[in-house]
Amino acid sequence: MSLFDSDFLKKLEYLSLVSRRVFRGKLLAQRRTKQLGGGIEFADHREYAPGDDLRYLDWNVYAKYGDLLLKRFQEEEDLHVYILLDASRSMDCGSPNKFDYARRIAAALAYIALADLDRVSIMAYADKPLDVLPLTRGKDRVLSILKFLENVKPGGTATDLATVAKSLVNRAQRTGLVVIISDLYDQAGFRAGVDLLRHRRFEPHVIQIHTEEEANPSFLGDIELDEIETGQRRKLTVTERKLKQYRQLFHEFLAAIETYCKTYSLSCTRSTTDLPFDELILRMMRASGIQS
Amino acid sequence: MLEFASPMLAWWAALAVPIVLIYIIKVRMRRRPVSTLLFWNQLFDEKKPRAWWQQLRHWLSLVLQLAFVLLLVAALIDPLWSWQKSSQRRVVLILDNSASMKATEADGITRLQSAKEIAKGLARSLRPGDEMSLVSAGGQSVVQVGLTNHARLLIEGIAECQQTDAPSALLPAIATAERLLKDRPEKSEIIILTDGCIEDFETIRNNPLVKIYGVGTAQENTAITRYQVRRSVMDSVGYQVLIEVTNSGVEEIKTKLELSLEDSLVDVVPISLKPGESQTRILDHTSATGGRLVAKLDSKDALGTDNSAITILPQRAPLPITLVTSGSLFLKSVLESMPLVELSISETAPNSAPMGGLLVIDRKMPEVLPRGRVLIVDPQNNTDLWTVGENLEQPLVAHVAKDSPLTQHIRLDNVLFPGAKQLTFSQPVESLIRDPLDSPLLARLKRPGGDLWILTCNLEQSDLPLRIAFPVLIKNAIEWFQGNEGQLRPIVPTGTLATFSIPSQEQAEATAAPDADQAEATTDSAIAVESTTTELSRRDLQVSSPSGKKSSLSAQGEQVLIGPILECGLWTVAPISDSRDATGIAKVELNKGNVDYRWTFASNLTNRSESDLKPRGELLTADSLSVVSLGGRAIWFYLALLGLMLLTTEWWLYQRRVVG
Repeated sequence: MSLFDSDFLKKLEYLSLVSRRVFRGKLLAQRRTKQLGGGIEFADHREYAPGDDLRYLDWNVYAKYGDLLLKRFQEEEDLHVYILLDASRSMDCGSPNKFDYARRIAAALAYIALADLDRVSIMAYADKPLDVLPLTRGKDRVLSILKFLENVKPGGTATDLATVAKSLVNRAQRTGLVVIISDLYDQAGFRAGVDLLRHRRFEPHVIQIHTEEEANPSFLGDIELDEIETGQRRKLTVTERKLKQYRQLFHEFLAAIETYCKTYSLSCTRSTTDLPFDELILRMMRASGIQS
Repeated sequence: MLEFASPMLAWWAALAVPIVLIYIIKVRMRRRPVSTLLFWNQLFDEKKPRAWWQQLRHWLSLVLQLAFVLLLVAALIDPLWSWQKSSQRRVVLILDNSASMKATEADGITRLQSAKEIAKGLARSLRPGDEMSLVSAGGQSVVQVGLTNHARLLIEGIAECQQTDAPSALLPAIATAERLLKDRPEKSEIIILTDGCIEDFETIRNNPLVKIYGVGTAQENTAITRYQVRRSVMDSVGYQVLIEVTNSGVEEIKTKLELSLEDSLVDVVPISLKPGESQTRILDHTSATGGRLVAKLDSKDALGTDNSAITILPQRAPLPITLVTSGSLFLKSVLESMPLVELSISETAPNSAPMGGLLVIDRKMPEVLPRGRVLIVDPQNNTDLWTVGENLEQPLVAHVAKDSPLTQHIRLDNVLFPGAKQLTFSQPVESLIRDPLDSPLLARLKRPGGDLWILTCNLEQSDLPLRIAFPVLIKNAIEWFQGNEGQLRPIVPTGTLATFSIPSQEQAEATAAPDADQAEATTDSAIAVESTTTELSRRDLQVSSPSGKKSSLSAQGEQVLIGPILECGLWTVAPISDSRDATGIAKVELNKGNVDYRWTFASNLTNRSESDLKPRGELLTADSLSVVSLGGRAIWFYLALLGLMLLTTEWWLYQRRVVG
């Protein structure tokens, strides 16, 4: 079975419809950028400067207070959606496969965005950008996006979101929504990267994926663990007590990410790979609806 | 000073080498891919064990494994203290498996079961060099296992030692034990495991080699201690039952004694017994059929075996008698008055007596007397066995044989036998009643084809038929011809021998007359009869116990001894080919010239000593026996057990998780 079969496409269409009917104007698309210009929706005032178009002077304010203020309007522009897909080797594990799951989510989000006439760019990364799909627009570009995602392979020797965020910031023509799909097993890099995006007025949205086995490992006794991302090995004697401590540590890790996102009002979605991807998208939609 | 029983087995200590090697090189660990070591690194680097014992965890595993090997090797080489080696014992263990050991204690376990457990513990405690033998003492002394050091053999022997219903035979068992130990008596001992319900207790206790260990506690018990049945001498269909019931407890009891014949209730007798009291009852009842006669006490006490007793009431079979007479009313009347007699009257004498019955010929004799058992009254003519002479001058009864069953209970002093004739016999006869000139008035004549009873007296002229002696005389004659079969079948007490007489061909032939054709054939060939008897005496027989166990025996003579009888109930002796129901009542009968050896007898405990469930003296406690046997186990067992515990601990601490 290929990664994006006909069932998958049907689910994408369904998700697109649901997003339009239920969450009109509240999800990714149809959001207004903060670009100010010649729109019809009032944004704010600024002081008049010689040479400004007098048609936009707020004569009511001038009549009342004697101040020369120029009205500014929000310019209606397409939303730019940047999807950062973690393609490090740590994603290539688990059953169902964590990377496949991430690609499906990326595809779903891209489809919804394109259906809402937004621009979508996808960047697969590890310690650096591995592959980039430039900004694209129109629903007819869906197939090229799916093809791009199908061709992406896990690689790299580490995960460094900070470097990748820096690359995105430098490369992006405009700010927009940045969806990070990753297991986030790179805490320092993750925070630095997200911070950079925030500071550059991007809107980061974090989707954290992990497997059930990662949360609750079941092995015991003497065992040699092989980290698939770096090839590092470690011999351990795993006891029940150690397992308990591991679960506690993992829980603390998840809680720390959640706290971080809440601190900066970032959207954060967490899921295990055994949850169907469409269920996850719907959950995200509901969360967005509640927030807005 | 420590010595080792099997030092050669110390090479098992080499097992430590692979254990250490495996520990050092570590068994190839399972490899498992994970997405990140981030958390494992944090876990193991930040939370390193700080306590010294935590750092020694794996060393402790090695130590435990090595300690296990050490203990295993120690158990294998079996260390002995020198005092233990010097105190090697030779023990004969006498296990009392008599009837009283069948008594159930308060915990629901029989005394024999308790004794067996103690005996097994003792067998397990055998040291190298120790020897033990097992002798059972239920009914007879049996060496179950000879002197051996093999504990398992002893334990199997103990387990196979069967409960008996017989009295204890401890004195013979002790004699057997002494014979086993006689070559080295200085380090020998005889251990008896018993409940103390034994005769000759003091004699046994005074034996210096013997130590008596007790099992069980004193208990209440009521028992049937005597039981016998016989046919009534006065009444052909009547029988008398002798029963003695004994209360060997310390409390007064009230119970009922039920008597049933072939599962039909015959009588119920209420009985009240004071402590230690015995009551004897004689019960009279009638039955012609006979069968299994069971007496049962309606009481539930510790020992059930002696609460019931069984015997066989012999069947009274009808006796066919053919009377050949021209009209003797006296003979006809007296024979008709006899119970169980099936009388037929004929005017001519047949060739033989009826099968299993008698032929009575009055006056007119055939020239050749018929075969079989024949009563002759007032012979008038000559035959092949006698010649009739003149009438006796003084046919007065002068002498009556007192010791003959044919003339018992008869008084005929000075009675006239008118018409009596002088008989001259062709072969010797036994004169039972004689006149003053020693001429026989009543004689018995033995012959191969069946005995004769000859009375010379004219019944019409004599007052003999009017005397009470006449029916008694006829009854004696009939019972003599019938033999004692069916009168009494004595009960065989358990622990004794049962004797079985194989009927000879001659006896069998006397029991009934063969058909005419067969009679001629047999008469023509006396050698054939002799050879048949020899063949029959070697016949293989099968003994069936009440529980259905069968054993074979070969009868070499006329008498067969069976036993000692160890089981209560009905025993049957039959030819191996006999497939009839073993519980049926057997009859010795002749069937077309073949002798049937089938014989059934009853066996009951009926032993006061065994039924008294109180020990006759002070017994050593079984607990002290356990101390002698080091808690019932040898030291190597505890070493092995400790090693096993260490192994389990090591698995629990380290290996269990791998399995998980």
